[in-house]
Amino acid sequence: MHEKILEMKNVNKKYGGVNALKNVDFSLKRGEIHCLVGENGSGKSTLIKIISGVVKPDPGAEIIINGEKVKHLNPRESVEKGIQVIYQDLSLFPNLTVAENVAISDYYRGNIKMVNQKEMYKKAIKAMKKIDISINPKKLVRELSVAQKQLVAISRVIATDAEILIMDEPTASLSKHEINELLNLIKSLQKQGLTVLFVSHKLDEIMSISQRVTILRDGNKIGTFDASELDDQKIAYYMTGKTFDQNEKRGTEKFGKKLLEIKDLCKKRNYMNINLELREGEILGIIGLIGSGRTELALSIFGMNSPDSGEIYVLGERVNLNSNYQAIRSGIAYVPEDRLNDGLFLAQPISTNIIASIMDRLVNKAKIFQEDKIKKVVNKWVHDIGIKTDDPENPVRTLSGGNQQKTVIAKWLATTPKVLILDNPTVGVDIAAKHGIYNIIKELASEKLGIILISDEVPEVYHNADRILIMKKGRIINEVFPDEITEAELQEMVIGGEINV
Amino acid sequence: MSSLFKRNEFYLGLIILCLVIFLSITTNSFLTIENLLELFTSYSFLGIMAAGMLVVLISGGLDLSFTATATISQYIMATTIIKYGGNLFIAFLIGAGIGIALGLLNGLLVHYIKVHPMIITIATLNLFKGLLMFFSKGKWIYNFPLWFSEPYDIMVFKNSEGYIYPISLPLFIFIVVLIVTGFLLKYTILGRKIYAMGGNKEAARRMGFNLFALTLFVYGYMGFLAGIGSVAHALMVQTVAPNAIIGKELDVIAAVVLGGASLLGGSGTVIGTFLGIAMVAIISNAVILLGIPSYWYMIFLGAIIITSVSITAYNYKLNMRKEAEIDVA
Amino acid sequence: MKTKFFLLMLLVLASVLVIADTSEIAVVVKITGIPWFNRLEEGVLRAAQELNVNAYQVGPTDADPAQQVKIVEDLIAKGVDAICVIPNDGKALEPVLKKAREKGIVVLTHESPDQQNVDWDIEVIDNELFGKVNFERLAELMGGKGEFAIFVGSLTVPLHNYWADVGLKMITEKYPEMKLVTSRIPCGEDVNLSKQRTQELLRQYPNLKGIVGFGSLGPIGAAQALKVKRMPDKVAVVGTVIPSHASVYLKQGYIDTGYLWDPADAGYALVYVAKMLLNDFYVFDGMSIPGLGQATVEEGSKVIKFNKILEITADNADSLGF
Repeated sequence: MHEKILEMKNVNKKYGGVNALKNVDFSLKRGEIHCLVGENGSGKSTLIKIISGVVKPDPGAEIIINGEKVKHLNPRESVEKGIQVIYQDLSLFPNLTVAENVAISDYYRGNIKMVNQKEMYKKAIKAMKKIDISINPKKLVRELSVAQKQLVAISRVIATDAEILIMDEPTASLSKHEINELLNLIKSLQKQGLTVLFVSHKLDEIMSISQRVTILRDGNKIGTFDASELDDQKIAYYMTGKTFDQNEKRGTEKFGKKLLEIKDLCKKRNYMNINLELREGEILGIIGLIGSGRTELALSIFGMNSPDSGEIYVLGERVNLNSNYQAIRSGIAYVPEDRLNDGLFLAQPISTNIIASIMDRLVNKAKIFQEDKIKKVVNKWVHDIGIKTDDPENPVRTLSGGNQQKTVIAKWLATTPKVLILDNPTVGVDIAAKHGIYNIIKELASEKLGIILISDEVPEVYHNADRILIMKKGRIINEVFPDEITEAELQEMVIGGEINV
Repeated sequence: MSSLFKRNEFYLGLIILCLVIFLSITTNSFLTIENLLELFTSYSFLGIMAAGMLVVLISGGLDLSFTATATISQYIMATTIIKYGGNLFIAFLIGAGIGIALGLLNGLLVHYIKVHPMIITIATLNLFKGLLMFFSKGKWIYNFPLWFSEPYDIMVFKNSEGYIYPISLPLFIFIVVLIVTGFLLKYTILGRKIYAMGGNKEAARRMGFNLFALTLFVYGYMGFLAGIGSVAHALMVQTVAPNAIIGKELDVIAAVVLGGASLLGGSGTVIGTFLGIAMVAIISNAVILLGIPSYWYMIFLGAIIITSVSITAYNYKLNMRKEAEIDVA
Repeated sequence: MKTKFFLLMLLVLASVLVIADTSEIAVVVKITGIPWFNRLEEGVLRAAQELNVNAYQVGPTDADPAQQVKIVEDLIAKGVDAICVIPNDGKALEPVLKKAREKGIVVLTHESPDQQNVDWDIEVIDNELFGKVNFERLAELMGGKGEFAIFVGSLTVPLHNYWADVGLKMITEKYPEMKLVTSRIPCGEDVNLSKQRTQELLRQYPNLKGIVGFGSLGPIGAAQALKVKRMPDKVAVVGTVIPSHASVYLKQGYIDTGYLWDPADAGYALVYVAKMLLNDFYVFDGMSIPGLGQATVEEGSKVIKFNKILEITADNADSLGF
């Protein structure tokens, strides 16, 4: 038994002319939870791929697993040495049963051989028992929730008697509650002797479970630290080389006239008795977990989820929002949570994405596009929002997550809205870009836009909103002002809060 | 039990049951062993190929060239046995061999070119068809040796009037192919790997499955069944013509999809495929038995495909809605 | 004097032959490579040899009107003397045929009696008569009464449905005791389907006495269905068949009589008439062509019609050569 279960020395990887990794030394101690942190493009995924044998490091690197030097690591050998990776997409087979997914390693050998169903179920149930979960093993994976799928993916690793578990951004698509359960599960895996390498850029997660943290920036290892040495500020600094002031508060501003008012809005199985108002220059935070009805409410305001009853007023005028076209005309814009599917045309140029919602305003009388007008609009927004690109004609696909999100925001700002709804605007965005987006939001508010900021991250709402509504089970259960309570109190209200109606 | 109602096969079976009841009441000859045997014999060669198509669709692939594969197998089989003689076993061996070879070619191209298999197999469909026309000059072949023209019946029944109706060899092969394919897909590791590949190809790659071998097998199996089916077809109609099977590829795919297989891969069952074929056959049968004009066949078939697909889509939507529901206190 | 005249005549004749030698006659078929037009080509080549002209057959690989137009355009550019077309789509060919005629090229068609820009259209059979002959034979075999059914290639094939129309009209007038059991069934180009349909008919209409099949595979499929049941005499089967294909069924009695025309006759007639026109001969009612007999010439519609219906029986099926 070696204390260091995995040791890598002098790892370099060049892709073309780009150094993805430069002289990185890295090690995992047996039984620890180790966090790997870095911005997009810092080399995290390359390092993981080298460990899992998918990518070969440049010559000169040394990989030692369990005290044994490994010459050429390939995926199969990596698995045989007890290394398992759970990728962000989980690599599950939606059309197979839970049991098959868990016991899939039985399928490695033999083709004509019959599947031993009994053994398979036994193996699957045993693995799931080990981490104390019970999902019907006969169910198809596509019928499971995201959180359950994650558990199936973990059970699969358990079933292979893995020693090292690598998890790539496992919490990206989970709600707060589910994340907590997952983190607890990882801790219990650790108790069972598993070594876990956890990739994340959510700072609170990192702090709450890991013993050691390795930080990468631009392919360089900044260092490996004991988690106790670090705090949010330090991690952010090491990751980006810049400092961010989380607590940069806006001065108490005078808000303008009432932009949006909602009275007694109800929709069966979505939300109930919603009342709210929003003024010019105000950032209204709505916080709630997935399933609290927050997104459903936002979609109703954007005309894409017609309410059963209730009234919506924009600038004092009653509106009927039965389609997003009507909402856009009333001056409402909505930046969806799932920007990849709902918000962007990934293969299309940045410029096309920006003007996508205002095309009818950029044509002349003959309905032909006015190129010069388009260029003006595009350049204005690329500059104002700060989208980092050489050429706005590049496809959106080529941008980083943060810049993609900026593009979606630019698209909606181009419609010159009065009300901007942002649904979890910083999901999957790294810390520097996150702060960029916060600054944009504040900037926009000071230009008299009314903003509704929906999020399930307490700090995000706490530090950016002027007023916060807490949603639970389809109702607004509380209204608070960040300067009157602490972040911890707000957290408590969201997770445990009683319904005070 | 609840999962039963989610399954496409259940609804398809229900529609078929309604049709069967309706036809048994309105006609006096539908629900006779004689009619059903003859009907399924007539559809057996399409059914054999449908089983191959099912495997291809489950793997996430598509093959539009199998009818050309079948026709080439038929021509080579026919000219060989006419020229050199042989027996039934050799005839099937030749058909299957040529089918496998052309199927493997498809598999190779699909794996290495990495373009959607629809494009590749449209290309090979044209290639095979062109080569066939070039070498055969489109000649019909019907001067089979006597041994090939004999009826090969597994079991023979006689009705009250003394006319006979057999379980013919093609029907028997159809049944065997369904059983073998069903077993392969459900109970062997190979079959489960094919489902896995169709469900999530990237994950299958990461699991270390040999996708190349799987692709080769899938298209090879399709070719194999196209070859077998083509010999069965020749046995039935005693005529080999360039346009007898080519052009039926969409009928086969429609029946398989009607039976619950997805064009996106990963789903489909042999029972569903059988029901899909049965549905098409029964509607075709009904047109004559009811004495209604033949264009009703197309109208009914179109309507039933839309109905069946709508039920599946509606079920899917219901499931989605259930997940999206919020428990409003 | 007499010898002088004779020599002169010889000279003229020789010059005609020399000119004839250089005339080029192209026959454009619907599609190449299928047995039907392979047979037609035999007629074209026989005429070329006998009449000493350069006649040949071309055609597209698909039955595609556009490809035919292209081929005709190429022939015009090449400068042939006569173009004979069996159109996939008569309308689509009109402009290019007009162009050919303007260039002085002789233009003939076959199986297209309504064509406008042609010198003549040649029909080997009289379609009305052809329809009647099939049904007349069926009536004869059925003894003038009982149930029967009709197969066509598809509901959109004009000729098949025309034959069925005239035949049915005759039956209702002449044989009131004969009864059509169901509307015409589109299966005649598919053996397997014809077989299945016959089985279904036999079951649903146990008293069925006859089937007329148009489309060259309809009678074959019907015969196979009857063969499975080993009942050659129960149902009379007549219709269009390829002789060599039907031979075995004719001999075993599963098919009673086949009717067709010989495509080689059409090929021969096309080249023959083209050569006549190129040599400035006139077309007249009652003229005859070797092997096809006398023609009916309709000056108004520019149709030359022969009546060369081929009756195919067990006795002649093997000797017809196709």
